[in-house]
Amino acid sequence: MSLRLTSVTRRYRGAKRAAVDGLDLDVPDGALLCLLGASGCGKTTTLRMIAGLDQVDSGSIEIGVRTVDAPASGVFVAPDKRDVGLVFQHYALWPHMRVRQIVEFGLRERHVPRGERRELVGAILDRLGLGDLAERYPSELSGGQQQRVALARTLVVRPKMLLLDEPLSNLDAQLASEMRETIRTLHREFGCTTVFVTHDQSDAMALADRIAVMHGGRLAQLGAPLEVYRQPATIHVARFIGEPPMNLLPVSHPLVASVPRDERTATVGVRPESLRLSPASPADPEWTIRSALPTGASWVHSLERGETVISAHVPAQAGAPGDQVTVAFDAADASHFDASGVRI
Amino acid sequence: MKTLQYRLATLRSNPMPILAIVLAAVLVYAILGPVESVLSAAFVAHAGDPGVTQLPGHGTTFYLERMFSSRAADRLFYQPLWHSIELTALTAALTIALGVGAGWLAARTDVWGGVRWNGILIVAFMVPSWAFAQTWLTIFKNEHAAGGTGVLQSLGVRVPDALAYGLIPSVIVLSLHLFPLVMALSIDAFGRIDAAQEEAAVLLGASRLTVVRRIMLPGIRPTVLSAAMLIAAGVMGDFGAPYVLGLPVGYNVLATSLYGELKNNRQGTAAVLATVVTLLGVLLIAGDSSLTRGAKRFQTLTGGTMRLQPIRLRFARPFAFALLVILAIVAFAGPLLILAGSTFVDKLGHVSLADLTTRYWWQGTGNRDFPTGLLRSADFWIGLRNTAAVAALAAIVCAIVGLVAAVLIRNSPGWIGSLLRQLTFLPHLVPGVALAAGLIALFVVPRGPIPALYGTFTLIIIGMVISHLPFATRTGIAAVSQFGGELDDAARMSGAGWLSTLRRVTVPLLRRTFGAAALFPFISGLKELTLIVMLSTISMQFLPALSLDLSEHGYTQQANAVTTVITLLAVAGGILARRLGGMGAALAT
Repeated sequence: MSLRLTSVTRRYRGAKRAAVDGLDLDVPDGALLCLLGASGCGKTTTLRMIAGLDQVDSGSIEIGVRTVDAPASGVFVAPDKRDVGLVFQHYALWPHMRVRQIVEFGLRERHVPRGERRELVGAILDRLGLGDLAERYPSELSGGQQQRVALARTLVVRPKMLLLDEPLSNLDAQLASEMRETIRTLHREFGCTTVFVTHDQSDAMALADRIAVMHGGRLAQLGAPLEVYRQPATIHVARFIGEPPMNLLPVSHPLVASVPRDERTATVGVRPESLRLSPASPADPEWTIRSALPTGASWVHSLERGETVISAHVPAQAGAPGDQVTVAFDAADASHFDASGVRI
Repeated sequence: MKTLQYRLATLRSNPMPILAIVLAAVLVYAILGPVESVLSAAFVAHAGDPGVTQLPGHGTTFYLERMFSSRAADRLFYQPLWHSIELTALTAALTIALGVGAGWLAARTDVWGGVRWNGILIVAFMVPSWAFAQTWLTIFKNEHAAGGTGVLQSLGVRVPDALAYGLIPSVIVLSLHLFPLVMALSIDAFGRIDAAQEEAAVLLGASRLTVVRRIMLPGIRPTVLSAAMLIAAGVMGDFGAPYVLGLPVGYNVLATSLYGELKNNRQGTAAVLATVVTLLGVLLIAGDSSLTRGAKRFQTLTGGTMRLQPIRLRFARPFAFALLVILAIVAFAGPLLILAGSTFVDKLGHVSLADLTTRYWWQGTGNRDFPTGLLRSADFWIGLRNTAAVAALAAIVCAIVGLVAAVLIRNSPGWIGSLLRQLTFLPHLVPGVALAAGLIALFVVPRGPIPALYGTFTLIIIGMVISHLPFATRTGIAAVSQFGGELDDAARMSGAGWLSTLRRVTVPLLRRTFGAAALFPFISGLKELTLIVMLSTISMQFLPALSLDLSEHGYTQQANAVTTVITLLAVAGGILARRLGGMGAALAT
């Protein structure tokens, strides 16, 4: 099922600005899309509107060929009639039911006969490694198990579209990487369009085939992970994606003086790993190392020159704090932004 | 722009806003109806009032004039008003002093027992205030009241009226009843002060006294002021204790004069009094909410994770402990012992083994009014049955309405939800006596499809439900938000419609909290005096009314026996409620 949002706006009562502000989004059938943004950027609101748990104020949402929410034409399809599954951030498992009953819930609502129900529930529980836990209550499960139950509950009814709210943020590092793998294989297996929300850019990069970066209730950029990373559409995206973030320098700065530009360029951005460091001759002092921190396979340096501080992510340590270095990079690796922060 | 068609489509998906509006309408009628009829009763001539020149049903200012500017105004209005203000202010002050003091000892010092003292002293709050009042009379009564004298006078100690009746005993009795609430609130407030705040001041060179004056007191001031307002509103609407203690000497506060006017069927003047009491209540609660709003500024600052080191009392430790023990004895242990003990001695003031008797409970005294012992008296058992049945029914209805309201509030976005929430808190503003007066005014005649309800159990149940609704809704909202809306959302996402979600998820979850939501209104209903006395007629028998009646006629020990039963039920229920996690519950009223 494809998903299309057309100038979707949602403003909460008493809020100064809209939570979602004229959002346009087009997700092709079978995509694995990530809604990425800082907290309060409107990504969860967007997810809830797609699910039908929240209503748009204006604009429209279409799932497949069906319009599910469009105030102007008086259409609103209830959440239970949309064929959309949602895995909640805190899982929302019913504490008064056993795992089997939780997973069976949607099948009963759809009047699936008992025998078939048992089969489907058994299959999905086994698939997610929950076979032994069917008779447990949610309170008797670990966080990772709870999340898999939530996934099983959602997938057992074969939704046309799967929504995941911050699926990795409550898990420790190892469980998170397992869950990434699980989501990816399930997406391949079930083939349903999947939209997940995260504030963590590394999760987005690792999991999604398309990333929609949101900022202030609007879509800042939509593209493949590396496209978003290499060619950020706005200064905001450039700052948000990448750790350490892109170095952003005013066009007048000496470091970027030699970069070819056009007259609109106001800011030049260079990724920390695009920088090369070499020892400076005492006669030509350039940048002073403030700190050099190992990440294991590489080193992150913080450099300063006058008021300006930049980061450099390089394979080997370039010197100790206080040492002077020269910084260089290929002009082709630079991003250019105009005065309003838009990529040129 | 959202079209009507769109709104209908969203309501088909979730029709709870419609149900919320229906419930809101019912509440408007049940809460604002009594208030409105009280207001209008103050301006409309009633039949049979001597002195009214207008025909019944016509507008009149007679009642206003009578209350505010006639020769009787002093006795009818200004004196009770002054007494009320005096009683309220002194009680609030003493309650705060006792509550904050005890709270400070328990929370901030190394006194033995620490904050567990709150769990002990809260028993004083579970004892009905009028039971305290009766105990006071049992000890201090002199020859000016009906029946025999109290313990002290029987022992030969001359008790002056000022100590036996009226203002002083009312202040003491109400303060001892209410201080555990302030204590609990201030323990909470002390706990929220971040240790670092005090330590930072000490590191900057502040003396102990400066720390107390500049850091600690400002930190708990919002809590204390808010508590004072709530206590004052409670005292203003309380009828039992001032009535029991004031009757022998004709001491009247607004609440008791209102009762007197109603009993003498002077509805016009009663309505004026009820209006004044309501206005004062509204003022106090409005004062509280503006204070609480101010207090939010403080709370955001204190994410206090560090617990304060308790202050070491050293040599004062035993004294502090003794102080709390004395407080426990004075506030409930002593009164309970005397209340119960007085029913087992032949005559007050003569305590010897030979005088021990069970005749008040079993054999009976053979007097005309109440010949048998309590446990053999049909009046007692009927009263117990009625009291328990009415309290139970009211509690069940109240818990259901509260939980339903909470669910509707959560599922109704925008103004509908907030309207409903505000409506359920409205009864807070209407003191018990004024609510009772309003219900009488409203239901003394049939209203549309509703028959005249005055003198029926239904009206008493309605009164109890309304007066406990703020608490029940608060419990409901706490229960509903404890489970979070996501559990319902998850059911919708799994393909369940709203009704199916309600049936399979919301109701099963809330069923577990139903007991807790109903228990507290039940206990309050058992010891409820104001509504019972004002709304019941002679033919309806209730234990609190029976006790009051016996006490008024001088049968102190029989009255004490009845009160002992109610008190034991209330305390047992209160302790059970706390066990069930109703700590917040016990504080909520």
